[in-house]
Amino acid sequence: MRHPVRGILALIAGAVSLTAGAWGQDRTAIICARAVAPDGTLSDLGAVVIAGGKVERLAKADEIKEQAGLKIVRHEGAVICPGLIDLCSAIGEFQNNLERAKAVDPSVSAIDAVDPGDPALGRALRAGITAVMITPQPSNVISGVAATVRTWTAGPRVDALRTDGPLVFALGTSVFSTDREPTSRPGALVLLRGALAAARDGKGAARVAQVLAGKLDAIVICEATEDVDGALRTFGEFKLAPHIVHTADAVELAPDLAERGPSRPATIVGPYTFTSSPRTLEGAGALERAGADVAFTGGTPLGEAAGLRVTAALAVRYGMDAAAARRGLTVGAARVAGVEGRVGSLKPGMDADIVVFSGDPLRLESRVIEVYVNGVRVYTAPPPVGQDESGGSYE
Amino acid sequence: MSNATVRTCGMWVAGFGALVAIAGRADALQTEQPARLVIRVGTLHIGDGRVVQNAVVVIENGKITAAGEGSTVPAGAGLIDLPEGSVTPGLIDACAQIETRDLAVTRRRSPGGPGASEPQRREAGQPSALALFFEGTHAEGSDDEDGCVCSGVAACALANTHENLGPGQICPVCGFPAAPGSPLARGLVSGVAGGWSETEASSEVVPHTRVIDSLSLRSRDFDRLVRSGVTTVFVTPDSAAVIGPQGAIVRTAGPVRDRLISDHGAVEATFGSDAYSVGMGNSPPFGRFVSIRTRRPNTRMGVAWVFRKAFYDAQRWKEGLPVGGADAPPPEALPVLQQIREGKLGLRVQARTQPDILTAIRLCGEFGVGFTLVEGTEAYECLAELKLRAIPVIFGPIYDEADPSPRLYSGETDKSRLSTLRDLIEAGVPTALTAQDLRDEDGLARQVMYAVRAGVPLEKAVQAVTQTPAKMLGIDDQVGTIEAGKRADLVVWTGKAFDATSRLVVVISGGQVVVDARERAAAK
Repeated sequence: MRHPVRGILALIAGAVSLTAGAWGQDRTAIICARAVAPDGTLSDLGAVVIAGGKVERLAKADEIKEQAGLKIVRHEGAVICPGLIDLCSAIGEFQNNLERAKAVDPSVSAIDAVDPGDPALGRALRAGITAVMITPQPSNVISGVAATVRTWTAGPRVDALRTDGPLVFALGTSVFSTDREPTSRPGALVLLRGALAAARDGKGAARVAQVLAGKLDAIVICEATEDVDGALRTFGEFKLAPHIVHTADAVELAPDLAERGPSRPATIVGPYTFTSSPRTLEGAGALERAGADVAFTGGTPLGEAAGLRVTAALAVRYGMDAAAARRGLTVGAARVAGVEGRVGSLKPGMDADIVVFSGDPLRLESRVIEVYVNGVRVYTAPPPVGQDESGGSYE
Repeated sequence: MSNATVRTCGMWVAGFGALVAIAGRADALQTEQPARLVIRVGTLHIGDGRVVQNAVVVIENGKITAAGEGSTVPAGAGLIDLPEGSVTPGLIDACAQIETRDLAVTRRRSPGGPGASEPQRREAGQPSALALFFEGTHAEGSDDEDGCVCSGVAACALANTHENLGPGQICPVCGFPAAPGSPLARGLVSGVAGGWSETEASSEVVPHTRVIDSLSLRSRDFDRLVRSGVTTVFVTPDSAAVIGPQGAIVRTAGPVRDRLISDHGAVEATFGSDAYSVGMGNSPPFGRFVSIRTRRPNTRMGVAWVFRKAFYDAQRWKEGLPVGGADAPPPEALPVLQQIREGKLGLRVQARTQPDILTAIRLCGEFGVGFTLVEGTEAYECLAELKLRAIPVIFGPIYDEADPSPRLYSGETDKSRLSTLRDLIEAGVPTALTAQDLRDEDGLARQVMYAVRAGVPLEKAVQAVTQTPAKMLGIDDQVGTIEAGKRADLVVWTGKAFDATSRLVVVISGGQVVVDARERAAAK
């Protein structure tokens, strides 16, 4: 173990899982005041019953009665939330995800670069991020497939939720090079169009062919609005509408996306910081009002892990609907990563990857109290400074 | 009926009334611009050389439905009434270079709320670049709290800080040791692509690429163009490649999604020093033996060789023969080159000096390729050849002093003449006028004024920025003249069109008023 805190976490988890295993059918009820519902609103179904690592049912706090085999954990005034999901992260693969051999390189996989001992995984977990979609660096027109992994690692293994997608495309100056093509936006789009056309004609890479057949999802990381235009135009020629990652001038995309109707792609924005320009920060709200599903990237591991929640909070501060922002942190992100069948929402049958916040996760004074993965408590936050065990407060 | 029920009903009625009021207001907003618009002016320039006095132009549903002599205004129509004024077709620049990355210092102000529109945002103003720079508030590429986006590199070019740099000294603003003549400084002096190229540089022959792919239709350059009366442009690639990308024909105003007319415009080739000096130039990177710049032309001989080899290889490809060699064009380029030879895709050649113009004529003649000459600074030396081979010319810009742009450093503009456009038109060569990258005080409207000053009859000069370019772009069935059935792209002037004392007050694109400076003009 490289990090002492992770060692402690592993011990707690090991102990809890042993206990759970011994009792077999044991259930746990986490009772909070409210819950982040799948539609992003704060509902009063604040009690979540977990069995066998899955969410069994949701209930109001006072509906849970003590009974044999039911362990009750109570957090007064807290908000229970699906584990947050950070998109386009480089956690675990930082500085190891830049493969520049070919500008069109769909065969590589981000999962092959992941280091399960990366301390950034633990930092993310303690900030309430239970899963990250890690992507190859967007330095190629086709950079390879992303993977979605849990930030909780059992020993030396990464717990991957998905290893085969989405396929990551990129446009903008980051794909240009001086020693291989492309060197320009038109050149990049020639390569993109060529790769899609070759796959259509049965001569291209298998993964690109899967994208064309609708069997593999795709995201396009776009540096500028003209890259978004180019992506939507080029993919549109092949009747595809991949998810778009664009932050800086996202506000300019809103009118176009509004006109596109239901076929509009989901968009991923971020990271937002307190020094981002207001115009940039208005992007998420503008896209959301245009009808697009908006999810976030928090900039991990370069930024601090709390950056994901800061990004969503700033999006709300600059006009985004709060429920839409909570969706963007949870179920919306799960949809982009293609893992919404397992995590991202508090619904019966979903994996019990859960965070207990002291309040609304969009409020920055809310803090993480506990984190559960597969129904197992893997992190308990120490009481905040100034607040002792007896329940005293800052005042 | 109980009191409570009455109250409830009353609330419903009030609520319904409010709804009706809101709906009525929404309708009013939608019909803010009347369905029928009439322009009544002293002079109508049709665009094909004809002029009508005391004319009206009627616009319905984005099209011109009537244009000619008259003064009757149909009831219920919006009226733009300028008895002293004149109207011309929306100007067409057949060779506009668009600044995709806006290098000039511009202010992007955050809107007051979600309702603020993009035009309102842009109306926030663009203070003098130099003023902002000398306030000392902006570092390179900063994007600061109040939303001011500033490129220090552009600022150094604007402030001419490189003028005083000794050999080896570093510019305090941009951090580059660039002498004024370096590609970087060169490109940035005018704020247009020159040091920076958007053209694919992995080959000198890239006719399969398209300029639309590097173009932002939201570029503020389009706003500048529309403010100076330009409603349609052919967006030309920069001149970094010997056989460059395909251009695009776009509108400068209206909803972004409706602006593109054609993304498969003519291919632009370059003869002259631009082909090996624009962009990062063709020198291989220091310390590397092989790069994508290995075996690239460094002279006019090399440029001509690449051009000839490309069309030769296209011929071989057509005949099913193998195409090879280190300087063979990319495989995707070959069918496009063949399309050019078959006349299915247009070719333009940018050439400034007499030798370059003659080389273009000779090489295109070898392969039987027709072309349009672009820029043609010394075209007055080649009038007979141009006329003999019926080569159309997109001439410009006209400048009466040393041109303050990358062209100056090419050394190819030394022999420019104010009278070249007049000579071309008098010789009967079909000639359009372009301002290329120049805007505002040197923009297309000012180019027409220069032309008139140098002896081009006003109607011929108007034609060179309206009907002639529309024909060259193959869109003269839609725009270029003020005739019934054409798209309503119009420019209204306070007085005589293109007169130094007239102001451009209204610009109409597709029947919509996109620039309206009537109040400001009246206040003056």
